[in-house]
Amino acid sequence: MLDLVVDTGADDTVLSLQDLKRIGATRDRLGRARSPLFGVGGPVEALVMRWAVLVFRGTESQDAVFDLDSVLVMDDEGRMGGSGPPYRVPSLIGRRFMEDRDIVLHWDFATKLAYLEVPRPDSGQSLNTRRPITSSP
Amino acid sequence: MPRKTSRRNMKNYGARPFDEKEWGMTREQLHEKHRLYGENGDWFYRNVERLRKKYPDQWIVVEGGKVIMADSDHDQIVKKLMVRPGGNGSAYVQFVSRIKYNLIV
Repeated sequence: MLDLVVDTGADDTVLSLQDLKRIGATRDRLGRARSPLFGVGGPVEALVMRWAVLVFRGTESQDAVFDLDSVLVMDDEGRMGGSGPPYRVPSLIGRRFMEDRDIVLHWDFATKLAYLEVPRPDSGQSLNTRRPITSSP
Repeated sequence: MPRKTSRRNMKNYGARPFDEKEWGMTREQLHEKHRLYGENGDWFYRNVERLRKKYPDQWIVVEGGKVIMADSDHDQIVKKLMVRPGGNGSAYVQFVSRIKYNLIV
């Protein structure tokens, strides 16, 4: 299981290399992305993972599964002389994921509570995945 | 492990229900795993200042309200987790920075 940071400033959903290893996948089996990723720290090479599935659990024991034809992976290992960075690199849920699926992001700064409202076409109901906003480690 | 979904299904970007056969677990087991993961994560953030002193710049694994592994090397932690008997995937892995930092993404 992984934590994903909801990032409305990110075009796309991106997995860190650390989290890729956490789910038991290996970098060697991934293809290279056509273009690098650009963040506040500058460009970084990217890999592409095919056939990803995201499972969300919401309040009141709801769940929803999303298929993704591909997910980008930050290939930042080379930056640190062959080893991974000595800090956590967060994985991100980007804007495209939410736009393509008509997801509504609720963000209440006063109560420090954020959640995603996921449309459920099969039931006509919504799935809320509530989790308090937490400070950085 | 989930089975590969056909390309035809990939066109459907909407949510689909959790399939117990696909994942080899019941919905109750999934929800319990998520609940435990959330609890482990919450425990981490409640105790992060104490952990900062005890495990500076180390990766830790939290389970059941305690730190069960610590290592400065992320890959070593992952390897240990993969071979650990009895793990159910709800352990919370996080880096404990010696200094408090602001996350800018």
